[in-house]
Amino acid sequence: MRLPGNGVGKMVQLAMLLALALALSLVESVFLPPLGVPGAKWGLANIVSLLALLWLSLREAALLVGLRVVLTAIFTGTLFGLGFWLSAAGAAAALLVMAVLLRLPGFGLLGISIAGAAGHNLAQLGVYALVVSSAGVFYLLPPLLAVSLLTGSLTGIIVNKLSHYKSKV
Amino acid sequence: MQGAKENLYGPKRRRLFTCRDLGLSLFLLFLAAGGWLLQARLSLAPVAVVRLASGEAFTVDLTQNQELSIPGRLGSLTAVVVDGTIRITAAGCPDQICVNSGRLPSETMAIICVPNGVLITAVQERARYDAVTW
Repeated sequence: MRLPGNGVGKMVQLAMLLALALALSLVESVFLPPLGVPGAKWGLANIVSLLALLWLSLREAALLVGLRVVLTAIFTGTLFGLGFWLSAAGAAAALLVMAVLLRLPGFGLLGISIAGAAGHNLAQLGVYALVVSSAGVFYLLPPLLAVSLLTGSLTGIIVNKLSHYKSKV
Repeated sequence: MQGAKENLYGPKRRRLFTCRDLGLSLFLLFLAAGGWLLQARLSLAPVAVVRLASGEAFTVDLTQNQELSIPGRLGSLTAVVVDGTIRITAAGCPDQICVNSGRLPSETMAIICVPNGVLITAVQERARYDAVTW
């Protein structure tokens, strides 16, 4: 893929962000306790998605998120399983929602991050509803939205702290 | 200098929290609370629907205390029906989210085990009216 600007620098930036996203995904799955609501996650990898949108282009951020989803699935042995598609749908929706809100004026990092978390959960529920052919999964929407507010706030605060430290590769 | 102050998506130094963020948060909070209230007001039938990964589905009578074995992708899940509620007591999945979901329908309206492909939902009682007009 031809990257705009300094190709090597972009590649290194992408590689570093990808490594960080993979590390955060694995830390979340191994060390952090489940949030109790099916489908709810801490969304630590979303930190890197938002940083990528802030620092890079949408195309590069999408490449980063795609690679992160595929590599995490390979590491956890869930490639092309249901978990993989749920993860892919959630990550894509979160990225899209955050990219749109970043273009709109007036939204802060907290709101963008919260919307991304909510988009992630909504997309996952939608995919699962399609898989089981039942809208019953949307019973879980209220607790998932509440969890989105908490996890989105957490990741938004972390992104706010990190966003000033873009590496000068 | 390219990209010194702004990139494609606006100013690099974004504020952490704005009025729009507050509005968005309140909207999501309102949606969550509204959904919860709506679910609390639903009149539920004393049955639960169990959907399996294979696409099969069956109902469970919640008026009869019983122990069930539900086939999942990773093995069988054990469900217990007590006092009009159903809960998963044992499952072979790694996170045990279904086991910790609590009782349906008193504590949750849906129990999902994604690794096992099992979904248990409450069933809304049929309306007593054939049609409503005004």
